[in-house]
Amino acid sequence: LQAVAAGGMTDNASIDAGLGLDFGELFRTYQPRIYNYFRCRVQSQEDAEDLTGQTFERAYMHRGKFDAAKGTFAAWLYSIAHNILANYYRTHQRRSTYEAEGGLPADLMTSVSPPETQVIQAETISRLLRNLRHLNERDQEVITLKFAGQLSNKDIGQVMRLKEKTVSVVLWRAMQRLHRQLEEDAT
Amino acid sequence: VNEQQLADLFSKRVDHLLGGESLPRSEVPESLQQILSLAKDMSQVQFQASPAAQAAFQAQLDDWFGPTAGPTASRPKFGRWDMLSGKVVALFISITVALVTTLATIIVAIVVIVKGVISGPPPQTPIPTLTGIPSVTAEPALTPTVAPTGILTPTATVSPTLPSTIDTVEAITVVVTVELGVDDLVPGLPPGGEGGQDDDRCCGDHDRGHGNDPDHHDEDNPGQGHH
Repeated sequence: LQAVAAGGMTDNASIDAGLGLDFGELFRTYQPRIYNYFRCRVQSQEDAEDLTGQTFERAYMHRGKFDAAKGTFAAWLYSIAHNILANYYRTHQRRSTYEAEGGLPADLMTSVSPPETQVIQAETISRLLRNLRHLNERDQEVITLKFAGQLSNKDIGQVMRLKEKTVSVVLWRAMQRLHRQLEEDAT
Repeated sequence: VNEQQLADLFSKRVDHLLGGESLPRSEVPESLQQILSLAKDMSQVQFQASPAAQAAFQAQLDDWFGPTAGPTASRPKFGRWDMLSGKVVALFISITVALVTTLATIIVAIVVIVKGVISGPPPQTPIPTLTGIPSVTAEPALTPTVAPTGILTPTATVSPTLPSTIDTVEAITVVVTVELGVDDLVPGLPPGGEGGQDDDRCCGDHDRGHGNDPDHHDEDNPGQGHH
């Protein structure tokens, strides 16, 4: 269970160690990461919290359908979150942007560092989030699942229905586009 | 190095980064180095739900899985055998308390009985009280003598009890005798004999009425016997 919670890059055997024994502990472990995933994709903090609640409610209702032989618990849980986010976008017909906020989100965690370093770090993160929204849906999703969700390429492939090798290339290209986007934003 | 190899190397470095490991100082292409720096910035983006949302989520987990799903909730340290031994100890204590209570009750009862035997029958205080009431109204001077009278009362109570029992036994005997009949008790008499001349011999005079009595005494008309 600790291996599952640590990085999400685990195999089925690690999931089996905790499967069925304590879903509550799994939910509690993954809750911050699921919220982080939604928060990087939607502008409203309240919406992210609501989507997180919906994800775990659906996971709880369908927890009997989880099959460790078909994939990890993380891949199963993020597949639910991925579908809930798609429904959210269909309902709201919009994409969130950070331009309207004009500042750093209040729920963004800052590292323990000197104040001047925190300011630079906050500006960097704000730019990242703002330019991330200019990427296409697929690039946003693969970057968010990798960094906010901390999933392995194999798990990302299961969520996005891609091969593991394909995920590597998709992620690499998405990060290159984000880098170019940041350079254009700086100029 | 083709794109796939570069992409795989990048993913491997990112996994090390997300796992908290430091990136190894090895020769990598310039393009990869820039993207890895961007990945390091992305890994620092961490949002945290509001305390209210976290509390609501924890409450939901408690509702689904019980209070033990909480991060601060400690699991019981007692194993199955510890719980079983605890129950055995509790049962032993309960039985011990019950035995001690029973023994104490028995001892108290024995002490009371022994004291009663040694000191004789307890004084019957209600009897002097009842007898004292009329004596007070009728003869106030006799009131001080109520106590000796009360002491003698048990003797007076026992005396009528024994004869009454004996009377009962005698009454039963009499009843049995009557039911058996005279013929069954006196040998030599024919069973079922009734009336006729034989009745006069065994039972004395019976009024045959209207002057035919052998003893010349008419019980139906006393004082008018034949002479």
